[in-house]
Amino acid sequence: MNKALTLVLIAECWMTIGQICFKKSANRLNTQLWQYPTLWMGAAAMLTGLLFWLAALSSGELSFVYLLGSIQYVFALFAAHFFLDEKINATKLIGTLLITMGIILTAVS
Amino acid sequence: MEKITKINQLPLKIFLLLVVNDLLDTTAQLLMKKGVHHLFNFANPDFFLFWIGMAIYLFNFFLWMNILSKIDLSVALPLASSSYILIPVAAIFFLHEFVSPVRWLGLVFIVLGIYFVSRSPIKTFRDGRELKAKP
Repeated sequence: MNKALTLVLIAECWMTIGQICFKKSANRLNTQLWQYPTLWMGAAAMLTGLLFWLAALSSGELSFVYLLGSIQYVFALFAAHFFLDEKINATKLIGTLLITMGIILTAVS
Repeated sequence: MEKITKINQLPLKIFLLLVVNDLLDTTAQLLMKKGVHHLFNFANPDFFLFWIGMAIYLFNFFLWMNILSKIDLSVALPLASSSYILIPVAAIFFLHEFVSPVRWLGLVFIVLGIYFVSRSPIKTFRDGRELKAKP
């Protein structure tokens, strides 16, 4: 598999973990936010993701890497379903399918 | 302050913040791409470009969080997705990348997909429970 593609996938996995952690922290915004461990876990995951993102940038074209980064929308759909109990509806599913098609087209371009 | 949930309620100030957010994202990605090979090479001028890009990226993250605290993600997302068009265009001009027709087609699908994702209602959980408004 393409090296840049692999690195983007790893980066976006970490970014999605970060987003889920941030959302979990934001969902209980009634006391001091910095006391929540999920906030710090989220920040750590985001930074790890950023490192892999930089590695991806260094091994592929920007227009290629950035478009592939939209895989995060797909990851987020499933992560939000399993970890935040958010519902997947038809509109969201159509949107993510379109994004997936776009990613496949980009990956073979 | 009431959170903005519809695109026609969007104040000019927040719209401009979103435009700035997109432009900064594009700039940051360009600079990071340009300098990523010279991360620790102090003698190379691209070294500075990388770290400027990195600073913009981190600043932009907080700007994005600030925007999201004022307006719904469903309003912010379609406008933010314009960076998927800006970045390939910037890559052509500043990095002399070639964007093939297939990649343009992929881009169209991605932007269309983001539009659909942002159009979907976000107020319900898997068990049918409604999302509670924050105090």
